[in-house]
Amino acid sequence: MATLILKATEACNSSCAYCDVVHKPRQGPAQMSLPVLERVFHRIDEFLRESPDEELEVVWHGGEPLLPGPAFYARAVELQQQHCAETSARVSHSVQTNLSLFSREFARLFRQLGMDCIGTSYDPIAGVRGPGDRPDTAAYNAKFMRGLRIAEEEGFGWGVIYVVTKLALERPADVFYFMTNLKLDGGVNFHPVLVYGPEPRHLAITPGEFADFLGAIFPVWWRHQDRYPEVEPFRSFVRNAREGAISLGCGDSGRCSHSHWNVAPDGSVSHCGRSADWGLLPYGTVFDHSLAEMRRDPQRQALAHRNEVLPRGECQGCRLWAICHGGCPLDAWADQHSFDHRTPWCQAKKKFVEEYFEPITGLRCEFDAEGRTVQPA
Amino acid sequence: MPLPTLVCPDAPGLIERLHGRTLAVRVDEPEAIAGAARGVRSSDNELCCVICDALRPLADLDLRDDWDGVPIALGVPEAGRFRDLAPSIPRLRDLDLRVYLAADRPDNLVALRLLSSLGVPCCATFAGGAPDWAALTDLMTYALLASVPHAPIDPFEHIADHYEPPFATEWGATCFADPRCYLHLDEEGRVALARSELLAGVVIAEDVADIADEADLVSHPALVERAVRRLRLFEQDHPCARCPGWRVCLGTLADSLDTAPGCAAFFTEMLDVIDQRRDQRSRDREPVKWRP
Ligand SMILES: C[S@@+](CC[C@H](N)C(=O)[O-])C[C@H]1O[C@@H](n2cnc3c(N)ncnc32)[C@H](O)[C@@H]1O
Ligand code: SF4
Ligand code: SF4
Ligand code: SF4
Repeated sequence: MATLILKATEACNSSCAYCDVVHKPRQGPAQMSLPVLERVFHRIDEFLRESPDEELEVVWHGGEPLLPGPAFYARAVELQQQHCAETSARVSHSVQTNLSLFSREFARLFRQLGMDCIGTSYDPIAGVRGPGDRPDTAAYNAKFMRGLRIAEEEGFGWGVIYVVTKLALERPADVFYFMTNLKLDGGVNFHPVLVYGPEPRHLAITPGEFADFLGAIFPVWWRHQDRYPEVEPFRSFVRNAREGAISLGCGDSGRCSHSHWNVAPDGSVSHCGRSADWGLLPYGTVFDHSLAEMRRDPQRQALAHRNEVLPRGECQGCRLWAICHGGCPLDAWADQHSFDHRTPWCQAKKKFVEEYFEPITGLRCEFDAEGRTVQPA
Repeated sequence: MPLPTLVCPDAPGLIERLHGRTLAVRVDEPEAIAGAARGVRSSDNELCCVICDALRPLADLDLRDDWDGVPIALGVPEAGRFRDLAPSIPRLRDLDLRVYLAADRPDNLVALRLLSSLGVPCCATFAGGAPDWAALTDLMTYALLASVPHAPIDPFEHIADHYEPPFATEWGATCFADPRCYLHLDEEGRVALARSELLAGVVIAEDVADIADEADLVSHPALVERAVRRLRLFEQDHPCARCPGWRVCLGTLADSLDTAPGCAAFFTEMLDVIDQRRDQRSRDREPVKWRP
């Protein structure tokens, strides 16, 4: 499915210690203006009319996407009705929010956009998430829980990203139980913290440490999958090992080159949130190019090219290729200033699979070029 | 959500004012049990049970003839000498009675096991003291896994029956401490969410008539506050929030954590025991029989 990441704002009411979005110097306006928003819906309609077999997911992102307030989303509902009268059945919406500003009004509007599930982020460890130079976790937590309660009362499902930092390495079990107690029926996703500069050094982790973090909690999850159903990346590893490469996030799919657009608050379009943050892969603006045109942008070839270069180079012969594809191209760029490399997280994947996943599950992670599982003779 | 059972004192004036409710009547003396049951049954309310917290050991109580046919929740401080209790066991088994014993006394854990093994349903209560968690784990394992016939020991039996992974299970109802199942009334008809709150004068309604239907209760701020209290444990990164046993405890013992820190290991073990019991039962359904 085509994915349009819509950065409703690059501002945030929080200042999480690891967050690039709020700590980088900003160039354009923080918040998306209504004319840009209108233009986006016009472009969506245009794209879907031209491509009758396509569906498109709008991912409301930020910064903190609730910051522009309910009026902004009320306008989005109107604009979709106005501009996408015939195509809206092929538009779906999702949101990634810190929930701290969530309200019944937002719930009503999100339902009008067809959402029944919300993506959020959390960390119980003090000093990581929250507003202020030294993140005020207590203030953040109270608002988060309030938003969460409203979301649950309003019948929304939710999933949560946990970013694994150095502080979490000291207590993997605590973190695992906390997150799976908070979200009893699953939907917890563990990601490594990505630190590109010298700071925040106290949070940075190595790929090996991330593998060890996953390895510390994986046996509990594996033994009790009915207790903790959807925990990522574990569920996907198991599904892929059993059924072939079917459950892949954007960074592992090797296919993001033609599926993503990121629209910044000023209407400029880049490949994804991360390329936009680093000024890479600029595809134009919603005012001067259609989505289809920007999907044909030759710069995307650099991403697709990776799929040819890596299997003959750094990833040659790797049995995980079909579930990895060298990892997220932007991670590769952050490390090597070129897309034609595998990412440093390669090591995390291999270590987790070889030292933890395979010995614990007895499942083999090996795939052929088509992504089918290969069992040793 | 069905309207909760009302736990009320044996006050005829109050019971006559109530109509079409299910009542659990609380009496102070075992001698008052039968009369309290008659009182409810002759009103147009239904009897759930009679609750009596006796002050004497079980062995010293007169298990009266007029208790026949009365559902009784009988709290006792201890079972007493088994030699004295033994003659009453058949009678205890015949009655519709459940014995409540506080889990923080080691002799009570022995008594619970004994009563259960002799066919008397019973329930361990957690009133804030520090139980011997290792002994309690043995008792829970016996309650849930022993293949010899024995009467249920709550809350273990209740938890094992109701736990549906991945969701959590509440068990306050086993000792009338879940406001979604039981509300507590004083003689004037004031309503509280818990007995402790009633005793402390914390009421949610001045008159039971104000809680006429489900809607009055579901949206009641005090009940909402209880849900929030649970989320607050997460907000504060309280040890309960990262407890592996959370799914079958939900921080029920959060207030006594300083004095009873063994609860996490106990409830974690219970989760595994419940899994084992389910495996055991699913195997038992298709017994492999000897064939010539
Ligand atoms: C940038 S936020 C925007 C949406 C929203 N404000 C939120 O926090 O969910 C999107 C996700 O990126 C994660 N994130 C932020 N900085 C990160 C970093 N340095 N490494 C890994 N994930 C990060 C956040 O935790 C969040 O889950
Ligand atoms: S809430 Fe989201 S956007 Fe805001 S600082 Fe935290 S991670 Fe970044
Ligand atoms: S695991 Fe490493 S070598 Fe294998 S495909 Fe991924 S990045 Fe390449
Ligand atoms: S078992 Fe103890 S630590 Fe765990 S949730 Fe219950 S009270 Fe809290």
